Amino acid sequence: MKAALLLPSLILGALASAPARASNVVVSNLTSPESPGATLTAANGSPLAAGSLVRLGAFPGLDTEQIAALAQQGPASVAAALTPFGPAFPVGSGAAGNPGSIEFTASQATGTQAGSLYAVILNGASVETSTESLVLKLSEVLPADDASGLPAYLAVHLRDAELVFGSDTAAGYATKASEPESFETWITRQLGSGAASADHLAEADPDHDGASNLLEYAFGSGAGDGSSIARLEIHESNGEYFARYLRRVGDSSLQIRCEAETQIDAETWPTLETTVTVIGDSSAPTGYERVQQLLPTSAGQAFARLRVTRIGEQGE
Amino acid sequence: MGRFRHNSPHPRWRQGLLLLASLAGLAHLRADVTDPFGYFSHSIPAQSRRLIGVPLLGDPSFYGTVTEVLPSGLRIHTDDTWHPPVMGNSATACVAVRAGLHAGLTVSATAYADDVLTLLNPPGGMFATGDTIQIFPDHTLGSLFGVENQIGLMAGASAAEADTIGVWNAATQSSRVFYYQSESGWREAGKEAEGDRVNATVSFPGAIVINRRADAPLTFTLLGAVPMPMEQRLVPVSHGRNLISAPFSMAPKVSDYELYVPGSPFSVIAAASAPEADTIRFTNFSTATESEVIYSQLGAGWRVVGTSGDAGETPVELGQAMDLQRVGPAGYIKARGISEQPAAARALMTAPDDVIPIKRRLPAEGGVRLEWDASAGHSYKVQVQPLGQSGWQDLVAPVLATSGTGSVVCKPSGQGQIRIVKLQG
Repeated sequence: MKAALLLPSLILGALASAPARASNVVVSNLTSPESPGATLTAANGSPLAAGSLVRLGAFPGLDTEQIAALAQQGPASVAAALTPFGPAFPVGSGAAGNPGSIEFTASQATGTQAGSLYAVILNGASVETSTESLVLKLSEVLPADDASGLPAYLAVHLRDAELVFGSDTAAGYATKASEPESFETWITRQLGSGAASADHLAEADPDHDGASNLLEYAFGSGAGDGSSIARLEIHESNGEYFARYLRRVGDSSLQIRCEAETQIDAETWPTLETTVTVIGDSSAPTGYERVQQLLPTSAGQAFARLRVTRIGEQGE
Repeated sequence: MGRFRHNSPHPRWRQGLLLLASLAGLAHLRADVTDPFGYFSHSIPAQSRRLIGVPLLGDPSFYGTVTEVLPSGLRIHTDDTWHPPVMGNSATACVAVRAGLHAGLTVSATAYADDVLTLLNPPGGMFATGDTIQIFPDHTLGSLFGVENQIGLMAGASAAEADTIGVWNAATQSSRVFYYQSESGWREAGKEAEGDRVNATVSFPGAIVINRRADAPLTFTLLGAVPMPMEQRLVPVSHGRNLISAPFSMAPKVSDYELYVPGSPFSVIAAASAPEADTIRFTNFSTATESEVIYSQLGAGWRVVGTSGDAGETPVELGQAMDLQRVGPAGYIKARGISEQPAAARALMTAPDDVIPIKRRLPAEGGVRLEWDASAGHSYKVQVQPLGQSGWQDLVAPVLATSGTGSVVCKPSGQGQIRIVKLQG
């Protein structure tokens, strides 16, 4: 494999450039003794601590399954994909500081009708300190401003929200810890739930770029973008040559290895047994790491390729 | 001052004592005094948008009683011999209950013929035979801004180029947008082919959105009759958004309105959380700023969304607009005034013997043209009493009438009461 590399985060970044539109959104989960509970809790059942982060926004171009798949990757992934609407609010605001409760008005510049509105709720005061997330769909659409220019208004009780990621409990909604993304959730996020089932197969190549879905999954390219192809790079340093590539982490069903051979037409390529070194690379998307391995140079030439094997599946 | 008895060109004044009595619910409302006539002067900055309450009524066209409550309207009667067109130039009118169980109620009328007034909503339960009512043709674009745009809104070929006037329709939960089309007249955005909209109405108690696109500020003076009695106001509301002028009252803060009354059919909806309650956002008259969203929280009182403090102290200004998001059904909400009128309010209600009723008010650039029945050779002055002040101030130099009609263009600022005074001698 010697293809170009595009990161999923670039796709999300482009989608995030479209601003959410509306003006005033009132959100609350306050209850009375007579009304059903809608308390925000952590995965362990305790009310979310005051100060835990709540943020409204949109996920342009993503459906709820894709959003859930992002949340599955962790708070950083879902927060990065959110186009915020208004500022962040801490749990406890508008509720006398009570854990698990919140009420606020989020405001943002006026505009035309936009897509669905979501609330992303974390179990920490920042994305970096959070380990669990809860995603609720508040409304199918952000209403448009009135023809006269009057700002739109929307009020939602969290009790009436639709759960996208997290847990629905007797007390209300609970945040949920992220889990390593599986191939199935990844491909759904990549192609959307509406894609043909055949296109979801590991060996399928729906974007016709020559790389199977499994390869794209393992090496960090897009399954629905023909211009996004994972790339194995050869890097020279002090007279030594290294094979560099992205690889997925956290999926124990994958066996990823680099193979090297001095002859390009060799029938079998041995596994490169040199040490795999993780390179600190902040541009690596969530769920991936960039690594390198020293290539043999004794023959004066060398070729390298990547192979991924999955239980019951295989590709290169 | 607006005329209270239309068949008397020069009503006899009694220093407001009877009017004060009417505030206390006096049944004999046919006193020889006039209702207060007020003004609100708005300055709309260049390239800005303002939500403005229209809390003053037009000129009254009917004063009488309800003789029968019909399924869709009222049969009415008057002893007046002066009969202007009940609906005026407007397609709709405001019916105000002056005395009766629901004094302070205002509803919309859509037609009048053969002593029968057709109401927008069925009158059952809100009117009774014997109620004393007044009718005020609704404001129109022509009466508010001038038939030929005398106020000076920027005209344009389309709504995208001109200053626009937005009028909220709670029934459709959307606004109609109007503008003055260059060399054509008043038009409705998107319905230009339907022609002139000079008589498009602004129902009481309405609010309008002025979108000023021009590079210079606009002065807009609203002048009209103060809705009476001020002791209580009953305002029709729809489910959803209601853009209305705040109930005309001397109540200085939200809690004084007593909008939430447990068990009352005219109460706002209170709840444990804002999305479950009727919420209100005021647009401040003098600063053109919006209040936070407030609501009545069960067991806690008025609250600002996002805070835990008491919002009952939120100040209320005369003439401010109110954005009421109603989760409850269509109906009415009742706002109370205050029984003990402060000094400024009392002063607003008084009038000397030589006050002359204002006959016509016409929009004029930067202000308003006032006309009154005059005696040729006599001098008159226009006086204003800004809200909160006890004295009257001359607004313009004395005007010498040369015919049976006196007139002057004046430009009051702020808000207050206005009157014409005949100079002695």
